[in-house]
Parts: sequence; C-alpha cells; structure tokens
Amino acid sequence: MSYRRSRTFISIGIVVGAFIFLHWVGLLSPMEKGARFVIYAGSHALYQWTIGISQAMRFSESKKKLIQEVDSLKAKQNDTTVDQTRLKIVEDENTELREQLHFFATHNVVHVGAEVIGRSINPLGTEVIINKGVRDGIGLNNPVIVGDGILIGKISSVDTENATIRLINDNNSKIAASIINNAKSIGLVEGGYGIGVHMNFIPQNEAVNPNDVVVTSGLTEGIPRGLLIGTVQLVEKQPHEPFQQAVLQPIADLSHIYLVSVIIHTADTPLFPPT
Amino acid sequence: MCLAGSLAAIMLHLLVSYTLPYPLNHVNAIIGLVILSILWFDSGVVVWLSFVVFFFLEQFQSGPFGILIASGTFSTLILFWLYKELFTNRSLWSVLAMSGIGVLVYRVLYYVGLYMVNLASRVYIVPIDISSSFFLLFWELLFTIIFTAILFLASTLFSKKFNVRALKN
Repeated sequence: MSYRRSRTFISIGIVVGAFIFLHWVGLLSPMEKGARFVIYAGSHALYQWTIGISQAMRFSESKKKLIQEVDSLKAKQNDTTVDQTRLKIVEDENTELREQLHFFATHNVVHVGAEVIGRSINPLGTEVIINKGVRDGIGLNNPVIVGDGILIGKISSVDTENATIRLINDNNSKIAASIINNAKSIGLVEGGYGIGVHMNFIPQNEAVNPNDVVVTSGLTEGIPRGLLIGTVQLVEKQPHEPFQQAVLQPIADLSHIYLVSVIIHTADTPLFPPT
Repeated sequence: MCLAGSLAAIMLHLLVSYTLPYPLNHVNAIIGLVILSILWFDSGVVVWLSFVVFFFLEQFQSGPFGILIASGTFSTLILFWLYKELFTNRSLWSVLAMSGIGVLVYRVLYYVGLYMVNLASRVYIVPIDISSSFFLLFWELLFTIIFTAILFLASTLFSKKFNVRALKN
C-alpha cells in the first residue's frame, strides 16, 4: 500500500476512533441528539405515509370481494382520497387507544404509551423505534403490547428519549409461553427472519390443536402471565423427537404498528402493584 | 448542500426499507448511492460524505455505536480505491462489480466489528446467527446490485457523464 494511501487509511481510522471515544465519554451526545431529532422527524413522517399507503392499497382475496371493492371505490370517486386515508388512520388510532385503555383498566400494571416513529434498519433484526425512552421510565426487556393486551415484543435497547422494540417475529426473540389447552402446554416462542413465529419445545405427548390460543406463561423475567401472542396454525411433530413444534399466527399485525404501550417495572414498583 | 444530500440518501434508504416487501426491503440503497457518487464526483470527498451518512444511520441501529460508521466509511474508501486503480471506468459492468464488492466488504466489516465487540465485552453481547446472516447477505447482494444497476441506467438517460455512447460521439 502506498504511503499516501496508508496516510488516508490511518487518518480515517483516527477520525472514526475519535468519534467512538467521544461517544463513550458522552461528549458526542449533543450532536447525536441533533442527528436523531432530524432523522426521526423524517422517519416518523415517512413511516406514517407508508402505513397510509399500504392501508389504502390492501388487495382483496376473492373475486367477489374485489367486485364489491370496485363498486365501493366507484361510489367514493368524488371523495378526496387523502382526506379519507387520514380519517381512517385517526379512526384506527382511536380504536387502538380504546383497546389499550380497556386492557389497563382491567389489569393493575404500570405502563407508558408511545408512538412508533420508524423501523430499525438492522439487517439481523426486526425492530421498531418508539418516541419514549429512559426519561419516561422505560427499561431493557420491558414487554410491549398493543390492543387489549396483545404482546408484540420487548425493549431491546433504550436511550434517553427513544427505545427500540424487538418484535416477536425477530430471529433473536425468545419468550416463554403456554397454550390454552387441556394440558396447559408450555414452550418457547421464537421468531424467524421477521416473517414467521414458532413455538418450540412443546412436550410431544401433549395434545395441541390448530386455533389453540398462545399466551405468555410468566416464566420470562419481566413479562407478566396472560398476554396474548397468537393462535396455533399448524402443528409439526416427529415420532422420534421428544418435542413438537407449532407454527403460530400472531394476533397483532406486526407490519402495521403505530401506537404501543410499554409495561414498565422498577425495583420500587412491582409488576402488578397490589390494589 | 452536502448535508441535504446525505439526508436525502438516508430518506431514500428508509423509503425503500419501509415500503418494499420482504425480501426486496433488504436492498442497501446507501451503498448504491455511494457508488454512483464515486462515479459522479470522482473525488475522495465521497468518503467523508459517507462518514456523515453513516453517522446519521448509526442513530437508527440498536447495535454498538461505531460499527456502522467504521464499516460504511472503510468500505466506501475501498470502493473508491477500486474505482481509481482497478475498474477505472463508468461502465455498467464496473457498477455491477463495485456494488457486489461494496456490499460484501461492508457486511464483512460489519460482522467483524460485531464479533470484536462480543469478544471485548462481557456485558454487551450481540447475538450473531451465522446461517441467517448468509441468507440475508444473499438477498442484500442480489437486490443492491439490481437497484444500483437501475439507478445507473436511469442516470445515463439524464446525464452524459455516465453515457458511454455520448462520450464516444
């Protein structure tokens, strides 16, 4: 390598090293805050726009539904599409908030509401970013729910003003769960490539059927018992294996999340404070 | 203007990541734009611009700070050297080769950085799944090459700089 090239390589290495050092001693915080403010503002707007677009462009599954939708669209031809999409988003947000409120009215937990402002670009994970962080009481591994107590993941990283949620369909997501069946089977819910969710290590001799409901078992630290995860879609078992596996259909639509609640707990506040 | 360009590149990357379905959303738009910037500006300034872009992108990832900046900046530097010393032209084949090499170098540096963090730290452990990493790398390589080629071919329609026939004439 020539002298000039070596000098370039070393100078870039020094600058990168200096930035990493400044980050760890905290001197880079103002610049990072500014960068996050700008990036998250753009990401938030972009994320909401893509949610609106995908909701407006959902394709129907059957010919009859398609014909009905075409007739419906013709009838709405004079309406402004943008106003309709905005109204739909507000209605969906209202419904989501009401469901979450119902859950917290009937369960004695401490929680923080948050808005999803973007998706992480980490290629190894399926994560979303929310606009609440340490200063709002959020900590690592706090469970995150939507709707009426439906678990979507847990907090994987957190800073002062934002946090990242690792979704249940993430490759590294592992949550202890149980099936609402006669045997009350327990197992481990794991994600796969951001697409599917499986429940593994279910004892072979316990009967598991399609449409059985899967909930959190309470055996994972920090995650209370009874949060909905999904339903059994398919059961896979081999006679020579000690465990069977179930493919799950998550109850929440993990690709369209915009409002969440983080169940928080501190040393002073137990997960379920006594009433 | 450079800052605006960097932010525009990041927004394009996020747009692609948010709107496209799996596995298309694994396209690395930043590497594609870096390659086109190298061909357009023909200057080492692109390396420092990529440093700014990856600093902003660092805010989006949940991994240890510094890995994206280091892997992104050094892969841009390597791509620039390859362009100057090996490919030395603005043909479609050079663009395809550079985008493939760019993604490979970027990801290798990224995983090496993650591995070194795992070795150095007993508190912060980043799980690395080897099989899924290869799987995702394949999608990222394939779609980034296609994306960069499309951008390059589209650029030839609007700019003579990338149009080999216009240069010959």
